Amino acid sequence: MNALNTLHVGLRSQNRRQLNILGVIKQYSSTRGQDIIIPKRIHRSPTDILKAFYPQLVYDDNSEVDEEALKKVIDDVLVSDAIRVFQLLQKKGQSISESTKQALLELLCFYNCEDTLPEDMIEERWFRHGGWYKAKQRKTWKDNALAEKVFNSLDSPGSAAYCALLQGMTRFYQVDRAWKLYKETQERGIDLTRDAFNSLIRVVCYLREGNENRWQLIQELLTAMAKQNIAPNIGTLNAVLEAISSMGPQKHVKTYALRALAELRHVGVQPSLATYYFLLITFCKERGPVSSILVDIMDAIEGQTFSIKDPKDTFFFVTAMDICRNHLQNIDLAHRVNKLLHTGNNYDLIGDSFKESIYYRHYFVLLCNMEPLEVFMEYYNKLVPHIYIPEPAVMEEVIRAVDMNGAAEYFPKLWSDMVIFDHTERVNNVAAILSGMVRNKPQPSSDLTEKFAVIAWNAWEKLEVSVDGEKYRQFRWTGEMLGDIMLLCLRYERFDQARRVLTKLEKNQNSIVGVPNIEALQLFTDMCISRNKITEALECIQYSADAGFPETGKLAQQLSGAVELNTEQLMRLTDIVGQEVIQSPNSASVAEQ
Amino acid sequence: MLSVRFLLRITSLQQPPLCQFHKLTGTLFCNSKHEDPSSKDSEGTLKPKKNEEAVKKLNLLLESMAKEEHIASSSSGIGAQLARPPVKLKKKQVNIEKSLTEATKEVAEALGGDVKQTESELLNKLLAPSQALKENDTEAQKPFVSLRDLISGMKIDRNKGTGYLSEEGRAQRVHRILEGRKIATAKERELSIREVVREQQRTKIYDDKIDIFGGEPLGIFKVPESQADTSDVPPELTTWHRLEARELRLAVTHPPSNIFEEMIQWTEQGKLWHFPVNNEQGQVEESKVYFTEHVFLEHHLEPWCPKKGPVRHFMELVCVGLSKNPYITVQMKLEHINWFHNYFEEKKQILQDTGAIPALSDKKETIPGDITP
Repeated sequence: MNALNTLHVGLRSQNRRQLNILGVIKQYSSTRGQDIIIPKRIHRSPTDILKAFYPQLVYDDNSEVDEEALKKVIDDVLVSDAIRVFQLLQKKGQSISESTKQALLELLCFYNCEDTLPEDMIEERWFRHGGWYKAKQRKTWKDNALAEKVFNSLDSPGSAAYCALLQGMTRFYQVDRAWKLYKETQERGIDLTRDAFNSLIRVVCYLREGNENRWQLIQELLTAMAKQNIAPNIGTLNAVLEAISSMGPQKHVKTYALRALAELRHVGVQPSLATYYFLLITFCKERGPVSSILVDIMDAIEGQTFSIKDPKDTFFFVTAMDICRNHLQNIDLAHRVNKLLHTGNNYDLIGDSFKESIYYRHYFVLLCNMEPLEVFMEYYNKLVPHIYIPEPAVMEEVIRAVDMNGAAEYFPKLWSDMVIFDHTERVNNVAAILSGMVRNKPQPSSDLTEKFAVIAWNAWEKLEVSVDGEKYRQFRWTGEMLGDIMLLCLRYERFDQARRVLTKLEKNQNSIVGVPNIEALQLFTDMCISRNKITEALECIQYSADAGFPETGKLAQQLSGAVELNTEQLMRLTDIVGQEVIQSPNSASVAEQ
Repeated sequence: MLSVRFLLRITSLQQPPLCQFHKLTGTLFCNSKHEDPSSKDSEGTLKPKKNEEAVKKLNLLLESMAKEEHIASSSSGIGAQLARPPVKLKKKQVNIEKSLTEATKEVAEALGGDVKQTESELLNKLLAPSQALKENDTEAQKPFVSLRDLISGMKIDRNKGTGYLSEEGRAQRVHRILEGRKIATAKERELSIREVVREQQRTKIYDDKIDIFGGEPLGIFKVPESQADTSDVPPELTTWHRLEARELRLAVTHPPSNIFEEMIQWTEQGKLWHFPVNNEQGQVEESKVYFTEHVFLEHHLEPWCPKKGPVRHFMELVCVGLSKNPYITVQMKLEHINWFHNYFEEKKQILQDTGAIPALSDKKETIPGDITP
């Protein structure tokens, strides 16, 4: 019974001229539990609900719309609805004010007459993979679509209208017509806004060929800006650097970039992370000389917190980590970048989930290669699987690192992670982990032998099923893998499992590439001898002979020496290895098959 | 990784004598570009028998290296002259190093003398990639030209070109640590090998330090003396700015990581009532209306309602009821009252006949039949 209810009850009873003594006492008693009471909101009228839950207005042919509706739709950023309302208004012949038309023009130019992802779809935006950014480098502007029609319907398109159309065209890479539009504004003497200049500078590389011409054009545009007394801002700086970064691998390009940065800093523009991103891609090209500019950049920005000022700010961290890994191979720098990412609210600038996963992939591989294994496994346990899930290739690197370090105790964890992340179909990974387990034979006292055997059998089961089940999977067993499985099973004395593997090896000799380790066959024969399973031993020796192992003779000798063979078995053994080998058990030479 | 550590452990940190080895190489290979090493050599104290054996073993070693190189390069499927990303180079180095270490051990033992030293020499020679000499190479590295060229002939895919700055593999770093003499040895400074390697890396990186803010300004823009100088700014596009700001805001909006963040986001989006609960949330118009307008409604009766009589009585009750009603606006209350006003206007005749309202002509007289108390 919460306090409000008791109070309510108390008041009501007061109205009825009774007093609920008990209720009042309960309310003020201190031994009552501390509940969090969220009072219910009293709705005063049917329309007294949150605006977000109003039903969505659908505009069809019969809707009654006026300019207010158009303004509201533009405010709510509903592009297709705005188009429909506008068309309705036009059909009805109603006049629309210039400012509303201007707002509509800006909306259409910004979104190219297409709908955008609604604001509250945060997860969709987060998981929207980064490919769309690069794909949009080609011209997507809709020529003669509604945006231009609205522009033409303006009575006297002023600077604002021209700028809106210009910015829209450059945003969607319609550079030729944007340039013509620019020329028109110059002829008519119409001033341009700062953003219009910025957007033109950004697409300079599409307007001119040759780095000198491009640089000249950039300078021309900047001079035009200065003539109009417009102070440049961070958008200008980033636009200039973006143009420079797509210029190509010449030596002068780097000087251009530094000069531009110095110029704009001189005027008072503070660089943002996008600035540093463009610097990085200008200096650290893939097929160019190694540049350590990231060190200087980190010196300049270490410990600072950033907020988003440019859409391309989110590219910085991914690129920085990429450069640390591929370009410079420097783990200290990577640690510094990571520390910067985690200062203050900088983690917001990681972008979307795609960028986050690429960032952690680079960091992970760098850690794997550069840090000692214990340190690396700390990072592994922290990051996987909460923040980052390794790709199969990365997983393979991890397995190899663990293998090389001889840290066999990590194999069970790695295998279970592989199962969870569905890497078990990849031959390389499975082969790597199996050979790692074989190479790093654990101490008899630990339970790792058992775990390894379980893992090996698990791998066998998974992959056997898939091979039989789905024909289109290209998984092919290799002899080494099967040998490793056998060996691991045998080390834990799982004879039957090993036998099954051997049978498969025997049967599919022609389709399985490679042969197992002789150690596996040796161990198998030993176990056969100890368990007195002569037929299996003979099968093993038969297979070993077919596979062309030089140790076949030794195995045969071992068998004939240790166990009493009856005539049939002896005959079979003789067929396989030849008479001399069996009869001279102490000969040093091995019969070559 | 492991093999590099292994290599470092087995090599000594002193400067290995190089002349012995040079004599060997001088006699073995004839395509080297160096001057005759015998003229430099001053310690020709090797026994001829050991020399021959060592020579044989070296031959085998280098052949095996050549084979591995061929296998490695042919497995790529394409020509060997293409530049490769540095990561792959390292792997090859790692693979080669393992077998090399074993082979070099054998050779060093055959050579006699200081086994460890010769081992280290051999490994350094064999693992140093072929590069053009850098300007900051120390003097001591010049005599190594011979074997480096020799090996460059065999390691066909190690050409990085002279235009590239140093792209060092781990072996090169090891080489420099042992030969470069740029820093004190690890033993003297009691650093681990890893830290030594890292310091080398750092000095290498800072060799070409770029001052990112040191470019020469273009001179296009003038520094504004005051904010007022930026006059005549053309009209900015308000909707465009708003949309840009929205895009930026959404770029940094992450999915909520816990329920509290989710509630915050919903509150901001307007899907959740604000806390603490405000019953008047969202009522902008109502907050402008003072409460007396809701409660004191009698003055609306002034213009039309008679001061006494059943009508007045009724209307006063209406006013009391309306004043207690928190759910409707003042406008609606006025509408209620006006409706009654209109209603009574229409029914004026009946009211006058029954005597509920005084007739206009007899306003000041009391009318018989008046039932007002």
